[in-house]
This record gives sequence, structure tokens and C-alpha cells, in this order.
Amino acid sequence: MTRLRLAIPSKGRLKEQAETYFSGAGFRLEQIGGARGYSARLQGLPDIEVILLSASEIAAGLVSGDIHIGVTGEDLLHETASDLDAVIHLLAPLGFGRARLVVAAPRSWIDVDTMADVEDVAARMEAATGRRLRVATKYVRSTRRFFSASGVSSYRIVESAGATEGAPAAGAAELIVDITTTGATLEGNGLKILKDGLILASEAQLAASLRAEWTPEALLGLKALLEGMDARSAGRALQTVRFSPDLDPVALGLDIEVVGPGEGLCARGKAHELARRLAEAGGGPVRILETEFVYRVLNERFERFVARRRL
Amino acid sequence: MNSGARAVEDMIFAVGGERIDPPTLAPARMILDLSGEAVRQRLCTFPDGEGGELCLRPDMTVPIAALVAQGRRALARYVYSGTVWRLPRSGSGEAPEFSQVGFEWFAGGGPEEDAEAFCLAMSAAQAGGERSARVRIGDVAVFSSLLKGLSLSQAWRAKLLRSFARGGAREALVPQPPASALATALAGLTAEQARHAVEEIFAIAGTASTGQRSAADIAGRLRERADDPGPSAQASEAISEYLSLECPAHEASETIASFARRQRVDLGQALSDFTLRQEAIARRAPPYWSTARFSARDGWRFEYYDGFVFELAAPETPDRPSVAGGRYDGLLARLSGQTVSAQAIGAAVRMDRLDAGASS
Repeated sequence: MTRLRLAIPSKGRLKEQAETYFSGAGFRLEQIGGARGYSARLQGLPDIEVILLSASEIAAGLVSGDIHIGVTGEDLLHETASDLDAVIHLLAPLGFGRARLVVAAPRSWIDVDTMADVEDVAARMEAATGRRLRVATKYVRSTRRFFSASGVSSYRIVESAGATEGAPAAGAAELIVDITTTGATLEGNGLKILKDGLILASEAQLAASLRAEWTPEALLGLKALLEGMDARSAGRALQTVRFSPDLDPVALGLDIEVVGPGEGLCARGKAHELARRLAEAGGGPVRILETEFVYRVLNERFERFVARRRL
Repeated sequence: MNSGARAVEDMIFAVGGERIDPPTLAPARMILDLSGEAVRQRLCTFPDGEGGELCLRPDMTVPIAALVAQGRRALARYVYSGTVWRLPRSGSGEAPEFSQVGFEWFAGGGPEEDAEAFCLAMSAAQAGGERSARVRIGDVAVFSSLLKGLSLSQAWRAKLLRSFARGGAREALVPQPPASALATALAGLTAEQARHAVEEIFAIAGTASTGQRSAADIAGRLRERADDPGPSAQASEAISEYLSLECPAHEASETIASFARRQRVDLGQALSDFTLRQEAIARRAPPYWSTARFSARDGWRFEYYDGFVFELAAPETPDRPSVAGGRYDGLLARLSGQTVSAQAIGAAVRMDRLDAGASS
């Protein structure tokens, strides 16, 4: 594993959104062997090895160090690593795949609103029946951590493989811990989210493994990817203005970053206003151009990652 | 086995009782029911092939107590030496498998026995080569007496004891939100009326009772809460003050007694037992006693401890005791479904940590 190995979700909405994200950054994803292939390339970044895996395999691969970087949910990362900060560095939140990991109880438990209520009810249930309150979840580690931090210990976990939200109605558990986006599925199953039952507000992350073997080549690959991503988002935020090279916009007090004689960058929303004033000052004809990528000398995200690895 | 371990064994086996070797495997359920799901992260578990789960014993106390509770061994004094398995905290560098030497004594009881058990554990640690150890003692029974002496509801007493075992008694003292209008209204009805009212609410909301809790349970808890304002400011203050008590062990009796006088609370037999135990320990003059400290703070290692508790650890790793022990008078009753009941005390020496302390 000398080249940078990047893992992208292999199916579903997360895959589509990740593809859109990278192509938005100027790197279109090309699957090798057609849409069913499990390896891929990012156009413009030939030195990066791209593999397609399920989101939970990506989390496991990052924790074990089998892949350098990957796109996956924060919820899965927390579930996979017992001490996330020690093994994973979050490079960039991606703005999609938003979901909340929550504790939900039957709506009929009108006396239960908080984790303190759960603690109390669990102890009473155990005293009365000798059985512990059951919590159905796929998120076993996150549940244990959260319940322990909330002071609840009289419970047991029922590991759920499929539709967790159905467990209370089916009599398989009293509470559930699950991912929700709108809460509608929980509501539809007669469940309510506890007031202090938010375990994690999660979104998709571009995450780097601190356990992976980072060769100089892999680091260069990461640098190229992050620079490309940041160059693209800077490009989106900026526009180029061209004007007469005899004019100095700084002397006019205009908010333009001069990049050479007669050329500068400005914030996207301000281009027209600035162009008018440049023209009025005799700098016309002023042209506004789309800027796709803006590369700068230092990439902050990359520098932060490098600093983190040195710790 | 190295010489340190042999010395610990010699010391304990000479006076401790009959040798016992409980099964290596235990039903995971039994351990988790006693210690809580939080312990699971430390357990080495695997499926038993019939839908249940087994684990490698994480300590000796529960497997030995289970044999006694099931009537397979008599109520007597036992000693052991064997391997136990606990997954270490990540980054601790400890091995998941280590050996423990210790003893479990059943059907004794009283402050003299406490002192005897404590002194045997300390002498064993010394024989094993432990040098710069710090000893910490506590007493769960004093805390339960304090709760009895303050005017607290049964529900609050139970809640505070549970959170004490988990190390969160202070956090549990947060003021209660006022009872809801519904709870107050239900408290004004009979139990039967309250149950009907809750069933009517379910009908209106289009929901049904689920999860092993009937409308009567829910109504009952709401009614109870409306009548229970929680600990008074005075009681909360007394509990907080008690939890902050910390002093040299030989001053502990006086520290607790003067706390009780200040707060005008009667600690009853728990305090007199504590004092008798202190005297008995002082008479025996065990190693490490001159620097031992008493700490009233909560959070002893196992939830089943209910009396005198003690720990010995190297000063630089106070959270990794090489000796831990205490009284667990309620454990047999819990394990046997209340059919066997006897006082019990035990202690274990963790050989890998003793070695670490001895070599540094």
C-alpha cells in the first residue's frame, strides 16, 4: 500500500452523494469494470487508488489502517473505534448523510422523558420482574458508552440485524437506539425520542486513518486531493475580474485580490459592483470570468493532518 | 510461577481456607446481571451454541459465590489461585489474561472478620513484593446508613445507592423538576382510577401499553413521583458533604463521627462497626496502614460490594489496583434468588499489577 488508498461507499444514497461531491470538486469517478466494479479512478488524480466498499467496511478499514482515507458516516466511525480521536482524523465534513443517533422509548411511557427516567424505570423493572430492560440496537458500542455516561446500568442490549424500530412493538425490546433523520419512522412505530437522548449528530466525513502506513507517495496523493477539493471550493466562492493593467484597484480602495497586472479575484456576490466601479475609474472594458479552481501555496487541511500525525 | 506469586499463595493458603477452583466459563448473563452492561466491554464472550452467551470468568468472586449459592459448595472459607480474563482498556498495555490469588469467606461477618481479611490481603501484597503502595478504604454500609438516617423516600434511597455504586451519587442529587400537571392530577385519584385515566389517555393518543409496563405501572410511577419531592436541600447537603470526606485512615472514625454530629444524623450500627473495625485493624498493625487513606467518595469497583471495601495501588496508577476486596453480604441472596443468605467477604491480589509495582 504505497499509493493513497481512498474508499468510497459502494451503494445507495451515500455513494451517489459522494460521487456528486467529488465530481463537484472536479474529480469525476470512473468505475473500473462498469457500475458493478469495486475499484475506480478519480479523473485528474491518477495516483490515487479508489476502492468501493460498504460504509461500515470503510469505517472498519480506517480503524484498522487498511485504507488511508474514506468517506463514511461519523456514527459508524464512533461505533467502530472505542477511542475515535486516537485512530481517526476527520479531514472534512461533507455536508450530506446527516442523521441523528437517538434513544427512543414507547410513546405510551408517558412518565418517561429523560435518561434519568430510564435509569429509574430500569431499576424498578429489574426489582419487580428480575429481568433487565432491553435495548435493541445495531449501535452496540455507542449505546454502551452513552448509557454508561448517563448513569444507566440495569439494561441489556439486544443486537438487532434489521428494522430496529419495530423491536418494541414486537416485544423484543423496550427501548431502541437508532439513526433517524426526520423522526417520522420512529413516530410511525409508536416511539418518541427522549429529551436528552441525542447520542450523536452525524454527517458523512472524509476521514483519514492514523494507523495506516503513510508513505511519501500516499501523503502526496492526499495533498493533491485536498488541494483539489479546496481549490474547487475556493473557485466557487470567487470570480475573476480583468481590467486595464494601468489601473490599481487597491489604490481605489476596492476589495480585489490582485493576482497580476489587470487581473484580480473577488467574492462571487461582489463582482458586478466592483466591475462597474473599475469601469467608472477608466479601467474598462472590465470582464468577469468564471474561476473553476484557485490553488494556494499552503493547504491548511493537509498541514493540520501532517501536524496531527507527528503527535 | 515467579517467587512473588508463590509468596502470595503461601501467605493466603496458609490461613485462608479450603482450595477451590471454580469453572473457567460462566454464563455471560450471570456476570452482566450482577455488574451491569458497562462491564461487557471488559468481558471475553462467545456464543454457547444454543443462543446464549458464555464468558471467560472476569473474576473469581462471582463464580465461587455462584457455586455456594447453588448449594454445590458449603458455606465455608475458600482460597484460590487461577487465571481470569478481562479485556484491557485500549492503550493500557495490560494483558487480557492474568492470574489472581485470593480468598472468599462465607458465613462469618462482623468487624473482626473485616480486619482479618484486610490484614491478610495486605500481608499477601507485602509478601509479593509490593513496596510503594497506597491503600484506600471505604464503607458502603456507612453510606446506606446515612441515607436511612436522612428522611428520604424508599425510591430515592435506592436510586442514590445505585448511583453510589456507579460513582455518580453527587450527579444524581440534581434538583427534581416539579411533578407534571398530569402526575399531580393522578396523585389525587385512587390507584384504580389513575389506571383508568392512563388507559383513556392511551385510547385518545391511539397508542397502547408496550414493553412489559402496564398502564397501572405507569400510573403508579407518576403518582409516586407527584408525592415525592426528592431529597430536601438539607439532605442533599449532608450527602454531598459526606461524599467529600477524605482523611488518613486512622482518623476516619472520628471524621465520620464528627460529620454525623454536625449533620445531626444517626449512623447507627454502621458507625460503631466502623470504629470496632478500625480498632481491630490498628491492633493487628498490617503493612501500609500508616499511609492508608479513608475516602467516602462513591464508585467502588463492583456493584455487589455493600460494606467495608479496600484497594491497594501503586501511587502512579491509582486506577489500577493490585489488591481489591470487600464485603458483599447481599450477593449470595441475589445469586440464589433469596434462598441462600450469608455474610461474605473476599479479596484478590492481581499478580501482573503486583509485579509491575514491585519492579518499578
